[in-house]
Amino acid sequence: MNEPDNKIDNLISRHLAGQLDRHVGRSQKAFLREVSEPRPRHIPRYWAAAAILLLTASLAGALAVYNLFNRPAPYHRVEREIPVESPPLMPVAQTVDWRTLDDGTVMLNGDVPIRRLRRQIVEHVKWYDPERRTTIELRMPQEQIMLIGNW
Amino acid sequence: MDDAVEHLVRQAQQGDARAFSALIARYERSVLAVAYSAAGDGDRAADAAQEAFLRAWRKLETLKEPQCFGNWLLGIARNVALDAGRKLRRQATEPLVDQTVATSADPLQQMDQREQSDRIAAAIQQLDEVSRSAVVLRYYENLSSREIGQLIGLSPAAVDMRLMRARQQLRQFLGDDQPPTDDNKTGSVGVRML
Repeated sequence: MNEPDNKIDNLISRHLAGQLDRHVGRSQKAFLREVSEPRPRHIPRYWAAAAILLLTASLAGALAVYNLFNRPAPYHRVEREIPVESPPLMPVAQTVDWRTLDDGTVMLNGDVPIRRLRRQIVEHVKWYDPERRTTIELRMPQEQIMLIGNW
Repeated sequence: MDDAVEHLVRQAQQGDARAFSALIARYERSVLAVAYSAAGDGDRAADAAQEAFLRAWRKLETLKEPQCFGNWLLGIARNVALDAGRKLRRQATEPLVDQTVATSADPLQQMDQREQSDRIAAAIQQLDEVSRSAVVLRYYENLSSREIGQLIGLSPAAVDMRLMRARQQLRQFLGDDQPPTDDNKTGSVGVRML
């Protein structure tokens, strides 16, 4: 190698040393910093997408289950035999007995003369139940009081 | 690659950070050299080297042949540096003034040194990428042709051939009228334009 080559070699070596020597050791420091400090876990995009997909599917599933158990109760139709209506009671007799009793003049509130009539009524109804073959009787006594006065 | 390096790689593949740290110490200058040949700038090369080691650590388990660690690592560094260069061209940023040669107090001398540095950088950049890597590994790391060939995937003879042609190109580019170096100048790179 001749002298000019040596000059050029020297120039290049010095140039490269000037450019690069000051950076020697930097990568090691960066690496040691990287492994010593827990950095936020790198989540690849496809994992994030898979997580979102899984979450969506879970929500959809939960919604489906919720709807399954919380839907409005269906209308249940029970076919029930309607019993044949019993034959109606047959009225046998109906009587009304009454009488009127005149109590005469009485004083209302102690100073108003009025005439008082009492009407006593007894209603008597009798039915016949053909199903049970029995007779049913009902008596309803009542009394009506009538006050007659001159105002 | 010697057995010690292969052993370190296997240890690092099992999660041993200290082993990988030792590998960084072993390969850092080579990675810087390859990154510089791809990036063309010392600072960007350092950024790329740092990123390359971190990527290598994260992907180390994918390396099937530990004996190919050096070649594999330099491939990562080269790709990182090229990617960074592409991004930089897209962003069209203005490079910072290199302060590495500005260790002398004389402003005129500083300017001369900077011009000299720029000329050499431009001369290296006009080489093809493989030759550039070989040149930087030889002149910065002082590796043998066999070692360079192992790292960049060439035979020693091919490395020698590329180095010879590269030197011719550099000589043509820089010219034969290079100034003598001044090794007695402390605080500078020893290059002075007369």
